[in-house]
Amino acid sequence: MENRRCLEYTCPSHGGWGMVRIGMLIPESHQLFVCPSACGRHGALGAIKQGLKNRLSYLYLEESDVISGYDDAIYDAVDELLRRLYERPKVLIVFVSCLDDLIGTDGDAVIDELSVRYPDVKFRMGHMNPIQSDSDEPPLVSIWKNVYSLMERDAEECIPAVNMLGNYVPIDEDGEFHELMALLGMKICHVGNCETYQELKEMGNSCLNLLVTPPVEKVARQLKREQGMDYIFAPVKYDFEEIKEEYQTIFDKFSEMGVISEVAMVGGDTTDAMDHFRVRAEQIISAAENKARKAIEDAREAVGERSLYVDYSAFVDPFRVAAFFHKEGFPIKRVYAKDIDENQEEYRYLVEQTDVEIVHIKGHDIVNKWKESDEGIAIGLEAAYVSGAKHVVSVFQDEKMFGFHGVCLLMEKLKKSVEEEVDLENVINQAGLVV
Amino acid sequence: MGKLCMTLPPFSPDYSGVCSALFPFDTITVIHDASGCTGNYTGYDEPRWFRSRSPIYCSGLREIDAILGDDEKLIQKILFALEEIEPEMIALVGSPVPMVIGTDMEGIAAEIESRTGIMSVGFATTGLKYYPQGVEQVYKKVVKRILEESEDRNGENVEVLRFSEGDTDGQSGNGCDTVGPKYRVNILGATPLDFGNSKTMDDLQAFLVENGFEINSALWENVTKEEIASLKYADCNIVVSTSGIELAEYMKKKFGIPFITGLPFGTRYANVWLQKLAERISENSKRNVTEESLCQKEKNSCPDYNDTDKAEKFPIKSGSKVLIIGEQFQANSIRNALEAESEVECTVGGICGWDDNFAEVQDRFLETEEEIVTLLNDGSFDVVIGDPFYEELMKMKKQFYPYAHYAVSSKLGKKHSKSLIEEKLLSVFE
Repeated sequence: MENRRCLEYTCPSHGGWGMVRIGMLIPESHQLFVCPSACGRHGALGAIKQGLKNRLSYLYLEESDVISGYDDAIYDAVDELLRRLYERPKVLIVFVSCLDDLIGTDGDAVIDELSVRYPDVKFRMGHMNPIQSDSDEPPLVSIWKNVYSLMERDAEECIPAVNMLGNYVPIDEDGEFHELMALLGMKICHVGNCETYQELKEMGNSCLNLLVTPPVEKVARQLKREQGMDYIFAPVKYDFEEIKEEYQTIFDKFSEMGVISEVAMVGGDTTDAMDHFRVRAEQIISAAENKARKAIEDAREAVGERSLYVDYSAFVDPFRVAAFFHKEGFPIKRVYAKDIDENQEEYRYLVEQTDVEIVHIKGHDIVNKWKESDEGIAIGLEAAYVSGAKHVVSVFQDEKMFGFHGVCLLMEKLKKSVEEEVDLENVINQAGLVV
Repeated sequence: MGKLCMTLPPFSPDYSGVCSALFPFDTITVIHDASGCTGNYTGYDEPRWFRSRSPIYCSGLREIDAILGDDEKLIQKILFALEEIEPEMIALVGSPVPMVIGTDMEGIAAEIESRTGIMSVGFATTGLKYYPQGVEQVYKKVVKRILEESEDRNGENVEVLRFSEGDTDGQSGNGCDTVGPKYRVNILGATPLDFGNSKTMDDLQAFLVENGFEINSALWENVTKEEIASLKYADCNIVVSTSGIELAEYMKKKFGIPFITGLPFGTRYANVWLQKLAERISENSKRNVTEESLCQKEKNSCPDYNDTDKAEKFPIKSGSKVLIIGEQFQANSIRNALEAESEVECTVGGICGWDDNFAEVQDRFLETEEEIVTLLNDGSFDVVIGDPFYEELMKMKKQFYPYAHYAVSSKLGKKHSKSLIEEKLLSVFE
């Protein structure tokens, strides 16, 4: 069923990280939504659930504002907001919604004016505008741009640190990637670990940005252009060969940047030190791989004949994960996808070489497809809802996973899911979903 | 709500009101938006959405469609869906973007109806207003239309049909002896946006049945066009929120059906309310609704608080000044119930919908967060009853009793979603 021809179904378990929650990753920030009251309801309720509402305010538009524009109303509201807040935020994002794309508020001019009025506050214009979902700057691209554009390089030379961009939560610290970076003397930075705005700013001094998800590419290009911060793609992979290739790509980049040589120099003899690093890195990777292999075997045994269903909310690339499961001998039966690229290698593999069913979860016919109950295991809450699976792995966009340790985390969750049947409504509520 | 709002979430919008009122009908409902508006409704304004097969969709509006005014794309998506779903009705629901570009929701609906032969209705909702206006629009555009079309078609004599199909053997089947036929009542204005996850509607219907009434229609679940058409056969309409008042007035004028507002909260007030309902029917019909014709339970004394000790045992001290913030008709009923049980003085602060005709002098409609804050912190009130989210706005120490309003706190207020029918009134103080 083609996406563009269909009315879109909204699953009751739809949600995850919306504009509000991503913006809230900016420490010491506040958000002011300037929109019809309706546009703010889901974000506000989600923020209350996550304990963030004290950093979120609204200026509700009325018909007269829509007709005559609302630049002045924004200035007045910011004046009032900053007067009434107990503590002045370091960053204020002024969000507008879909209708502003048609009204055409000059966001840059608004930000300039506010910056003149309040030079101690950093202002950003946010766009919660799903009407632009098929443009080159959909909401996810624009919000990440707002977050990471606050990084500022103020050191003459970069510091030995890498930033992971585009993942909502930091990767698990027990993984081999942390060990490998430590071997290189590299700190891993993530906006979710920043407690102050200053810490986020200082991420601008890191020597490399690792892009974990595609929507951050635009801001990464901007940071390279404006601040000279280099970047490479490092999406979450599950296939063993792909993981090893990804590590090789990262090391090659460091090598190109001279980072490995610098570390090696500390040890005295360059060649010996380089050899030492490579040998040690191989040992770490090999140990992690063995652990992941064992985790897969254990999970496969625990899963048995139960069908597996994966969805697009659990993984950035559900087809890649489904292909991995199939190759590893898991009984993967269905992928619930939102966007389908028929030229994608893994999609073609699933369609041409397996009997895995691909279901468009936004299609209007989904109301006739969902099941009351199923013995299988759903990975992702939308798959859980539609499939009726009794066993559920609650995960959102590969969270915390990276490298072989990521495979281990996924397998652990899979094994655990077999042990109990869930009350899905409870799981959804506990997940604190935000549409 | 206007101006700056720093604490409360935005309340349920008009398009949620439309969808909520349409939910029990056999309808394909399409919210013409990009995704967020539909997510508001399905995520936070519809407790029935989970495990429902109700076909409520987002049109997937994109900027290029808005700029080009490509209504045909929307029509084609609906026609495609009709290949697999056979509804009695199609509803198109507006959102902020269609408002800005001036989409003719009614015109598109008319076009769809002309192509498919299926009743189609367009709603010019904007997201700038609140849910009662959406519910009212459904009553105006769907219910009235079906009532009028069915009248034209059947040419029935409503007066004759009314009273004629009740239980005439004197046995109601629930242990309630009645004399003669039962009186049929409709319940108007009931949506989960006002009653949330509470059992209020179940309890109200049970209360009416126990007292010898028959529920003609509550427009609450699985409602067919035939059931809507049969609304006119009721003896009285019970209007449980401001959303239903316009339809009730229309039905009074058109079909001569009287109405009563509010709910039978608290044991004493339930008795009074029941008498009012009987009187309203008596005034309007040739028959007298006597106490004998209703199946009355023992209602003359409150089991927990009789006249002598009510001031001592009732959770609110005699002489207290009580502020009740919420849906106006529910708040009025809480006022009536409290004043029947104790010597208290109540003020109602209405949220989202308001009708001056049902307000006391001291009552007021609260349109902004600032107005709510001001009233909550008015030193003259000792006790506040309202949605749990209002407590955060209180700067002065007062007794606060949470009573969830779904259009405010959604599923986050579930713990405080209560039915106050009859003796359950006391649950608000738990």
